[in-house]
Amino acid sequence: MNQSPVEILLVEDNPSDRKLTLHSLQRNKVTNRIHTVQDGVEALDFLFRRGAYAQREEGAPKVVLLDLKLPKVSGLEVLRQLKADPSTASIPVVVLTSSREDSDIEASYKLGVNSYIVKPVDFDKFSESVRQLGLYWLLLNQAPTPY
Amino acid sequence: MRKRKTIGGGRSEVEKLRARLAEAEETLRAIRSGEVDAIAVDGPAGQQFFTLQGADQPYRILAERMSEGAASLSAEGTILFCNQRLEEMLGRSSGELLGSPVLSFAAGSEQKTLHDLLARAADGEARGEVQFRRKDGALIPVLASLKIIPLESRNGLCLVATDLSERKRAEETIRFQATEHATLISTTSDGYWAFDAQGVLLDVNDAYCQMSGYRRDELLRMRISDLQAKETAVEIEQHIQRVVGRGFDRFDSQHRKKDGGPFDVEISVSHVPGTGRFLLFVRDISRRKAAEAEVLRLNQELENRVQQRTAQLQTSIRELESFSYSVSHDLRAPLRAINGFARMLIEDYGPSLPPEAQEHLQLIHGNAIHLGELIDDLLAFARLGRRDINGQAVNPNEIIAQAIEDLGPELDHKKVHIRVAELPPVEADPQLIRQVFVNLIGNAVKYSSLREHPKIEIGSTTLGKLRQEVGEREQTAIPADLLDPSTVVYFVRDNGAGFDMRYANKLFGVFQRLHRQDEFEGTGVGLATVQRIIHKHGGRVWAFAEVEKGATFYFTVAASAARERQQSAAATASAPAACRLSQ
Repeated sequence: MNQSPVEILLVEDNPSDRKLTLHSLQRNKVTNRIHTVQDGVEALDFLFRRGAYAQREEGAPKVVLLDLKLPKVSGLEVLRQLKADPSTASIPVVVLTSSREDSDIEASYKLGVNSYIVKPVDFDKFSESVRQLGLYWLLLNQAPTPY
Repeated sequence: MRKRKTIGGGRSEVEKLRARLAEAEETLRAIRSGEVDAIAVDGPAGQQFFTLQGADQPYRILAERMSEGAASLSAEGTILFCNQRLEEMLGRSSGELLGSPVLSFAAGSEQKTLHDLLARAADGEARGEVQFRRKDGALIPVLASLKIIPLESRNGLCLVATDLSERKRAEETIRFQATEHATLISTTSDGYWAFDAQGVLLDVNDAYCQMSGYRRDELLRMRISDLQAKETAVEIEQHIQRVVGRGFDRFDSQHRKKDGGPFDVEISVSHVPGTGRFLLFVRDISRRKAAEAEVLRLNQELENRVQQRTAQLQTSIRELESFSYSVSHDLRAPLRAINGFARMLIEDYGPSLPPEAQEHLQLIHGNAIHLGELIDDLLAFARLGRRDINGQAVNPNEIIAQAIEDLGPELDHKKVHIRVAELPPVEADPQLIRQVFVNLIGNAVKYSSLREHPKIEIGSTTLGKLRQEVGEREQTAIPADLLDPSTVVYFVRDNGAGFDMRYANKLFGVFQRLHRQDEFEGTGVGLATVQRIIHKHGGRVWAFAEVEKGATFYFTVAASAARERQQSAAATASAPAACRLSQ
């Protein structure tokens, strides 16, 4: 396992969903450093170290949890830019959204998403999904070494 | 040859002539008396001998064989000799003819004509048409040639009679044909021209005058190039040459009326060989052309309208899609929050809350989950409406195995006994037909769950057999418009709670339920989904049940309809997968 603390970037505009996700992560003992941003622009600024994040210390997050329906720049656009840039293309992205629309699922996979979770209404199922996420992406599946 | 008379040489001229005269008299006498049967004639090729018998015979044969009637007449017109042809012509035997006056055979009023002819012939020869009357009374037109001939001591007449009946008939036919031709030309609604190789009009009919607005006398001073609206003078000339080569041509063209307006015509032209004349028919096809143009215009209009409607339809589909998207996204998020925070309250503070508060929180939690399911099912149902059918040959047994697997946790295999018969293949969209089986089997499992030994039977039959086997009440449940007895009917049968057939009409409605939520849970979308899928496949679905005696759901899939839809679906992009509905 990688020794450095695993950093998670959570891109979520809905405060309830943000709180629920964080709560589920904590309940599932995912104690990695989590950074939360609230829209697509902020997410891109963080990932590409610009704007308010120009001074952030180097290093990519180990995983991005990305909501699709975001203010300003959509989740799909964030995904596209992230996968188009060689410096960020290898960061695993898990799309985490309410949308069950097939077009979103298709578009996400075309843009190279690593996993796609439809947030269930049932909190227990949601919690279970988050738990599996934690296990899968942060523990079992080692992320590539950061540059 | 008993004697040989020759003329000797010189002496005096008188003596010579006298001797020749005596010799000729002697020869005539000898011929008449029959002492001589041949004569010798001096000629450039030396002496030639002619027997009299030999001289007579060919003429007799000639007279008998000639196609004209022939006779020799006395000066008074009595028939002395006639050939067989004349006998045939007059329809009388030689016995009737020989010795009779020829005048007696001329038709009443024609006797004078013949009499005059005979009189004229007495001066040498005469020719003229005369009608004879046959024995059977029929008149026969004859061209009579009479010529004076010496006969014994006095002159007689030779008659050669040519039968004119054939020629008269031919002339009649030609006259009749000419009349027919003229009638045809003047009464046809097609225009008619005759023209020569220079394109000069020689004749036109009234129909063309009306068509073109020109008078006949105007047209007869015109050439083709004055009337043609499409071809140039050079092209017309070339066209005429082509017609000469081929003999005939038919083509569409355009002529110009007197008022200058063009009109569409169909031309049929033929060259009359050896005359340098051309016959041409002109059919006014402006109405046909106008109708064709109208059909084209209507088609175009229809096409435009279809495009317009399609665009409108696509717009409303897009609107519906974005609506579904919003519903999917925006309705679920707050629900998730309601449910999530209720759950967190229960988990984190449950023990310290009074029991009533805990129960209320549980109700909030449960209702939020149910509402989530309703939204999911409704969205999936709506998605079905705009999904295309991807029809292909499907093995229902494989599909059912997958469907049972899909049901997974809901199915207690130890308790529920599912029997699946060997089913005939079906042409359908595999994912959708699987959804049908998932929903129907899921229902069967749910509604038989209170039985001690739940039994589910999946099978097929034909419409014919089904109608024979079922009772009168069930007959009425079968859709009346299903006719072909060979139609395959699939069914899913359970021994569960069943339902009252009085409410059967509500079975397939969205959100319609025949059981209370506390009896059997459900959203009321499952059977509506089944019906929608089956209808999309051109099939029918119905049910028969009795309260507490189980239910059977039947459905058909119209293969041809499925194939049609497959073709229409092939034109559009393949559709994404349907989501599974909870029961």
